[in-house]
Amino acid sequence: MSRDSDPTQSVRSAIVPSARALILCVDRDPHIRELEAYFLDQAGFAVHFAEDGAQALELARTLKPSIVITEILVPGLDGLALCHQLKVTSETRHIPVVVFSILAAEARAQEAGAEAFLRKPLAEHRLVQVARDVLGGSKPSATSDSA
Amino acid sequence: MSGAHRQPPIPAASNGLRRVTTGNPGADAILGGGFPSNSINVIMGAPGTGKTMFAQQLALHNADPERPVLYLTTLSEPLAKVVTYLQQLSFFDESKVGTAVRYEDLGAALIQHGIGALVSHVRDAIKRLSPHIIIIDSFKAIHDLSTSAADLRRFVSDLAGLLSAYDTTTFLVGEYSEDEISSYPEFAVADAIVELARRKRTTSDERYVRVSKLRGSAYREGLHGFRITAGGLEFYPRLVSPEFPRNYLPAVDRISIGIAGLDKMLGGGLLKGSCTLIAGPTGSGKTTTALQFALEGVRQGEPILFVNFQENPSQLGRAIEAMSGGLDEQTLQRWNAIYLSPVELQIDSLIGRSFDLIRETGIRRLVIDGIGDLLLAAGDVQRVHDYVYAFTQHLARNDVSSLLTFEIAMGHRYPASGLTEQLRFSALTDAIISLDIDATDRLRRTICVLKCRNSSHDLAIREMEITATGLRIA
Repeated sequence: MSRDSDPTQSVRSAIVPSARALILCVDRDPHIRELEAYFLDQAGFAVHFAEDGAQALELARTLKPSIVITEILVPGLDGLALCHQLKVTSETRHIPVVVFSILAAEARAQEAGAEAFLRKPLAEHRLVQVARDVLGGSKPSATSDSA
Repeated sequence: MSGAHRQPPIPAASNGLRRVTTGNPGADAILGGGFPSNSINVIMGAPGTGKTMFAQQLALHNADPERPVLYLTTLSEPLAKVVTYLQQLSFFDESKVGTAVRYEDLGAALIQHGIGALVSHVRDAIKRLSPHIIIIDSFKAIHDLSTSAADLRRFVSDLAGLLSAYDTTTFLVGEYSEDEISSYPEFAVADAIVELARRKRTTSDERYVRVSKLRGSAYREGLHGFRITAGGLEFYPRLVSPEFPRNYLPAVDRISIGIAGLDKMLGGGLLKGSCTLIAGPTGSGKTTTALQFALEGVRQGEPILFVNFQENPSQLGRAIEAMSGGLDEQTLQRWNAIYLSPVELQIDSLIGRSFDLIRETGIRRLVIDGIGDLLLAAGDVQRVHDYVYAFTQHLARNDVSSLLTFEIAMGHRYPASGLTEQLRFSALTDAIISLDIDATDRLRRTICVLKCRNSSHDLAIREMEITATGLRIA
């Protein structure tokens, strides 16, 4: 897929069985969603979005994504509570969680069991690198800050 | 040089904000280190104030082929015109254009599709180019295409959302006036507002910059001078008084003013690092006293700086030659001079150049001949007072002894009224020496020491004469 093609196609096709690793993203910001979808798709991931934490928990059980990337500030079950729930549920505890937030809450993300923390704004090289690192089981090379 | 740090810059905010530097040390000092990265900033000012040049300088300075600067022109100036004039400036680097700095003209798309075309274009550019800086020039021109205030507000909110979501720093350049700050939605989303302006003077204009908003960061408030040169904009951060360390003690050593009789009247010379005012009418010997003070310095091996606005370098050279009997090459090398015609004089730039010389050459004595010309240039007594106060505090902090001259009317022996009162020289200086000309039967020059801090000075009014080698006190 070329860099200029429609990124929303990959979102629509995310639930179709694919060889590409699926990332479940939880974010309400339409700009973040579009850029996340585009850059992760470009990096070879399939992407699916959840509107809120509760929906994300349900989708994590059914879709079995390779990674969950969540904002903290999402409605209902917030990103940290979602992370905690995923980690205490036997069928989802193996899914790596990346907290990707506007809040500087690295310590809280770690306490909730997240594998990595990324601070917004979105920088595609950091986002993709962290996704690759957690998927490969290595310690994420870019965490905490946007620096 | 494009506005180097003339005084210690404000430390960057301790909250770890990353910065986008402007390519201009003076501007960065005013901004507390530069613009915060990932911010939305407005660069505003009337046409011809230097906004586009400022933005271009910033773009070229931050050029990066991996993550380029995206420069979008809208409906104000055609792209071809912008680039044509840009090429005349020394900071322009043709090799960066099209790779590290990408220029794109949005005029046609905006006319065809309306203001929404900008958001689509920026979103597309983020995906295509990963720009780390986006400049939109002119953003104000977009207003003309909006169909309603609500339409414009929605558009600005959408654009700000996109620009905040992505790792990029944005500059919105526009011909805004001050009263539009409270009504236009881009100012509400702006993290920084920088205004460039021009103030009309009799013979030339004075340019200044003011930061009126900078979120999450300390910055230097007030008006700061700048000039437009072939090398771009040169900024001169407004001088503020230095902080003195707790253990600071003024020097107690004395230095000769270069006139034996006057040293005696002062109680043994001037205190090192002190500031002295020489006030008197025309022809009373102010410049001669100042030259002797400077000559004494170079003879003692001290680098000096002589700033004057009336006598050009040739005239001054002749006076130095006559008074000193000729200085050898090594001694002359310690003599630094700034000559500015009062027409060209801009107080911020003068202070900036003086600081550069003080730092580069280790100046120990400084003369400003005379303060009246600074007043004419600034047109604002309070501003001159604040500048001279801050400047002399910096000099004292660095043990640089200074001497200022000020012209007053004949027979008024330092009147405590009018300009002298407004300038509050007493607060500015450690010593005040009054020269006068008595014109009763013949012209007689007189001198007295009105004030000399921490000194038991002579209270007499003494006659003196100006000879070929300088002042001689009876």
